[in-house]
Amino acid sequence: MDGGLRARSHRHVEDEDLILELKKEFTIVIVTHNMQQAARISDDTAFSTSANWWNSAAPEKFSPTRRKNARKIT
Amino acid sequence: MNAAQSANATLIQINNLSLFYGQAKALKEISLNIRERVVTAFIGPSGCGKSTLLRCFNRMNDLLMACASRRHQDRRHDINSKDVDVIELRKRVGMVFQKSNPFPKSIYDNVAYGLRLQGTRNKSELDSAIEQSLRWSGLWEEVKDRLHSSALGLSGGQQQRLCIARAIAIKPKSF
Repeated sequence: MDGGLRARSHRHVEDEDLILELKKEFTIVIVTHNMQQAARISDDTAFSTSANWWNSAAPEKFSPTRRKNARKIT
Repeated sequence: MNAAQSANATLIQINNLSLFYGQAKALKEISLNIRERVVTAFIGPSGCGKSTLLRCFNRMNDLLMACASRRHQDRRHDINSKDVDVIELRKRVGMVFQKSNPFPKSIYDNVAYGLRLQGTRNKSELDSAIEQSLRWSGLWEEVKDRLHSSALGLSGGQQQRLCIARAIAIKPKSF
């Protein structure tokens, strides 16, 4: 990993910590492409394809390894 | 709803929301609840409407929409009603974008911007609110000695945290 990349991923970790800190005071909605990030920091996840949205209480429900979800996601 | 879910009350309720860009239906009959003081993530492929939905929360789509059947509510108050003061709504729903967009002003003036708009003039009040916001966003230690330098001189990550500080300075309900 080069220095730039390392700095960037370090910053991501800092940003995620910041979000977790801020949720004590605020209600936060984030938009992300990054499923791993969503799984790490979100309490609720809403997954969308172009037509439908699924609302979930727990991000791990969206794990693509679950057969039911794999059908939705792919 | 299970016990864990009901621990935090619903702050924003989206009820059967559809949104059109011209003829194109961008959002189709969406119903979601956003709970208070939790992190909700919107995930999905590009162009699926994540950002469009987010922008509905403080009516930033008002000028873009050709037609929309909108009915989402903020604590039982319909934010799409004609009577809603959009400025008031936006005080309560802050936003930070992927690309940081600090104003070409000093660090101090960036964070003070919303507070001054709200009529805060008292210097010590401004000073303490600005320090608190910058501490919250984790930027204080890095900028406390140069609050009056241009925000554009900050690094990308610092600029983004400045935008977070600016968004939370006015204590929105959500952002």
